[in-house]
Amino acid sequence: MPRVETNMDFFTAMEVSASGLAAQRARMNVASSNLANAQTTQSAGGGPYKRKDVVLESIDVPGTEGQLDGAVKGVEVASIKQDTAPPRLEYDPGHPQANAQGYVAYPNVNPVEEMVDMITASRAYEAGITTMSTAVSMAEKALGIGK
Amino acid sequence: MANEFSTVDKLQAAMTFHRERHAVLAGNVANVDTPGYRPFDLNPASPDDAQVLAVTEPGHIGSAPGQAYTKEFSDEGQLQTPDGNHVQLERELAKIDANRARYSTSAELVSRRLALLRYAAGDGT
Amino acid sequence: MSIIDRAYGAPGVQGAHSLLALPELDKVGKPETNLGESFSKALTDAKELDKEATSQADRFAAHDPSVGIHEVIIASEKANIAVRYAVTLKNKALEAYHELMNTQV
Repeated sequence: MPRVETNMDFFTAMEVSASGLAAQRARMNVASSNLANAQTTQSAGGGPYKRKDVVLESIDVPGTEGQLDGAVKGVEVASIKQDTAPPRLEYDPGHPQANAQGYVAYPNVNPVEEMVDMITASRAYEAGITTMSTAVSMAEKALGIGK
Repeated sequence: MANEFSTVDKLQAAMTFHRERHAVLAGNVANVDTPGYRPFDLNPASPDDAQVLAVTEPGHIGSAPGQAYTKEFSDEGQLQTPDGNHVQLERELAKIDANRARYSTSAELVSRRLALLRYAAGDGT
Repeated sequence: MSIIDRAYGAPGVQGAHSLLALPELDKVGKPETNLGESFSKALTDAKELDKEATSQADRFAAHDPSVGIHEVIIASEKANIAVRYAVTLKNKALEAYHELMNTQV
């Protein structure tokens, strides 16, 4: 394959890593919001809180369009959508939000799942940090040429 | 074309390659949770084609020498998650570290080569 | 010749007479090797080692899997030392030449 001239530098790589960090932070925020609202039986839209999920999407990085044949991809949060799973019903006739049958609708949040999500997001965040510091150490190595 | 700096030029081309590969691998790490994402990698042209390496674009005076490479998906034989993502984080991190080591070695060699040339070009003091 | 011999031994100022082809100085001293020979040997060595270092570095840049990090760095340092040694001998020869030229007869 003939070589294509590119004009990307370490800042491109760092922007890519930064987009990944932002995406993981969004996942972390959503997971903690789900956890915090695991028992919220009344939300602004009526009914119990509904579990939210981050939808990620890979994007072209500004400045690399058409370069390297599109091999450099960043990531962005395409949307935050609600989980459509039904609420969890629990029998508790004394609860002020209990329905006629005595059932209370609790959010469709599984705390264990949210914890797992937080751990994987945190791992991926750390990997992003490592990748970014690698770019920095490579740039510093280049700065040292001739010294 | 073989002047005192031809080795430095080749090392520079290799460093450019490693820098671009780092951006590609960083993209794989960033997309570790993107549904349907397949990781990319850059492969240098084989050493047998050494003569095609370090070819400066004709007409680009003083432009950095480049290096031929091929781009491909790097997910053969890898498990994928239910959402169709093929990235294996550990593998990408290992690649990133190896890539950094080669970049640093090239930079070090350029440094030492230039120091020797500087020494030889001076009066050797 | 060992590295110690190279560093402290045979070639020195007293070898300069044969380098400069001054036959009347022959009786002054008769070193085992003369400076000219040492210099020419050092130059050949430096050329060889530099060629080796250059080729290793080129192959490293071309991603030849048989050239690893320590191979290429060691080759580069060998060439570095050999070139510096050759330059040192050249300086010694020049020094000797100047000393002889400034000698009052």
